[in-house]
Amino acid sequence: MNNTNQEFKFFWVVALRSEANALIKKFNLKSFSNHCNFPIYINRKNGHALVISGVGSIKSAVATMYLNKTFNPGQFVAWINIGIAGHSQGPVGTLFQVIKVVNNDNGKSFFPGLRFSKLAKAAELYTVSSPENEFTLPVLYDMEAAGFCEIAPSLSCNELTFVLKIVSDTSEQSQSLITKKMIADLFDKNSAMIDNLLQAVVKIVDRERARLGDPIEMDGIMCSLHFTETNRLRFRKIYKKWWCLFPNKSLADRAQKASSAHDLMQSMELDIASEAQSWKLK
Amino acid sequence: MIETVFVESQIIDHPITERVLSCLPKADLLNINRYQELFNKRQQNFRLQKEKPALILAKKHDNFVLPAPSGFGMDSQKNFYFSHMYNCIYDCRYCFLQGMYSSANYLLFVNFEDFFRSISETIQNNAGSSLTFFSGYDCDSLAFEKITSFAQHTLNFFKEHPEVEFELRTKSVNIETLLNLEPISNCIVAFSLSPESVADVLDKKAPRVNKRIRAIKKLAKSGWLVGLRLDPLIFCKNWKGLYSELIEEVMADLEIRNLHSVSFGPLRYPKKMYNTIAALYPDEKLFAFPMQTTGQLVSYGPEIENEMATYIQDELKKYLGVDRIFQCLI
Repeated sequence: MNNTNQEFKFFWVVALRSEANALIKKFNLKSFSNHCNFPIYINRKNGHALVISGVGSIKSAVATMYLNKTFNPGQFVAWINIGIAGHSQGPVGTLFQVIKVVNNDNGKSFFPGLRFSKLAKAAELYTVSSPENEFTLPVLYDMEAAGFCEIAPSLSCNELTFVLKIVSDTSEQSQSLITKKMIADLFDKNSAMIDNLLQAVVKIVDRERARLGDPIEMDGIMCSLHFTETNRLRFRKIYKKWWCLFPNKSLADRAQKASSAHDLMQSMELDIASEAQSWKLK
Repeated sequence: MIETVFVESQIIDHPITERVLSCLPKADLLNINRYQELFNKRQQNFRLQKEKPALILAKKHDNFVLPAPSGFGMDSQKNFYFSHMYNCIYDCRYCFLQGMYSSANYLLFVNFEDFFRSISETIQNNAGSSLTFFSGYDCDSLAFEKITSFAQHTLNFFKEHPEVEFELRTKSVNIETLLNLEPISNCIVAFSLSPESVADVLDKKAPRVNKRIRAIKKLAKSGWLVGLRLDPLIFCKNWKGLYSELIEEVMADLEIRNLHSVSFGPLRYPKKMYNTIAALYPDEKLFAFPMQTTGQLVSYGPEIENEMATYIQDELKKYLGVDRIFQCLI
């Protein structure tokens, strides 16, 4: 199992096989594993990984954790729960970006994702534990999102956790009419919108990775010298300051010559201090 | 532009809520029970959220008026502050609000009337003492004025309380509300300023310094008391020249008799707050500086602080008496 998965950018959690099929086809995903009733599909080249959770909030939460445990992708990836949902008005086929999720069982609410108002309409969603037919509120209804939202933000962050729902049934159009073919059509119909949303998401993922991720050189240096756990943390802080001041310099040569991690950090601190009197803000 | 507004159900019919919502007709509107369920959530990414903050309209239930931290304020016996809003539409790199809240969303408390009731009580409870009330500690007091009308309400309130001083702290040049009112003798409009080249780098999304200076002069000319807040003082190459230029520029043609006070203060953070903010900006040179940690406080250190304070004070003394110059130390 590959535990360094910087190549993945999108982690999908879907409830139904028929929902997954649409994405498997769209992103050319291949089967990776089928343990614990959570089939996983991936495509390393385009950065997608997907798990089929099955129906229900708890299954969605567990599948999210399972996918994370399988690939250990770190902080800078997007987690997306996509699927069909009921809505009082519809119309059927509309894709919503869910910006508030309420767990109908306990009233707990979640507010996932950075809003893309130009790309998708916003909606509130209630996650229920049994299929909803009444549609008493003007909101979406599903059976998974609350479980997903309970877990996904802690794996990345709230702003990179997205819930997208496509209306499949309304008070006028019963869920008994939902078929695999209909789900495939609903995803097909919204394919361009999904692409647009992913383009917006990947920009954020790439930016966050570049801004907050560790410079590649840093890992090499930490392997070449002995760092205590405390010194690792200290080095990470000093390195980022040093790199901010000297973005075009390399530290690798100096690290090779340094007698210890402590010496290296001390020389870096001296570099930084030497700039203090003529400090430039940009 | 605000795209999403969350409103606590209990204040959906409040006049300020109605006013705010009427100013944002295109925003998505969602009800919430209490603002904490959204504002205090863990795992929020402050930087990402700051790109598109939502507006939360809520009711504040307690702690309307708080004692100002010691070292804040001028020469009143007692200083208090109140915050009708948390977070700011500007994005100044040094701002402590980034380390204060886990959310970058704007949180507006619409029950202004409860703030005023509490301020009245504070005035009554401290009769005989000279008091100053500050607004703009947790937000910018004027920046949201077109939507909230907060300044207008607040100035009307303090107009009826000439026995106390009120300072409205801002970087906004949105001064129409003030220019449309008769100046109020116990109200000070205080502007935070940095040298232009410093502000260009650090005061993201805030009005340019020359515009702020123009607003200051306009207000002073129309009879408003103004304050200058050189806070925080930023250490950088040629800082002496930059601050001298700034002071010279702002003092030129300024109606000095309407200059209430000038204060300056060092760049200082509680250690935990500094670490939080610095982690948000690993690519920001401001936070790459070799700061000194003394106890729980992170600063440039006494040597730089003292040199800057002495220099700024000397520069200011060229234009006004020491009775109007104050050093803030929080």
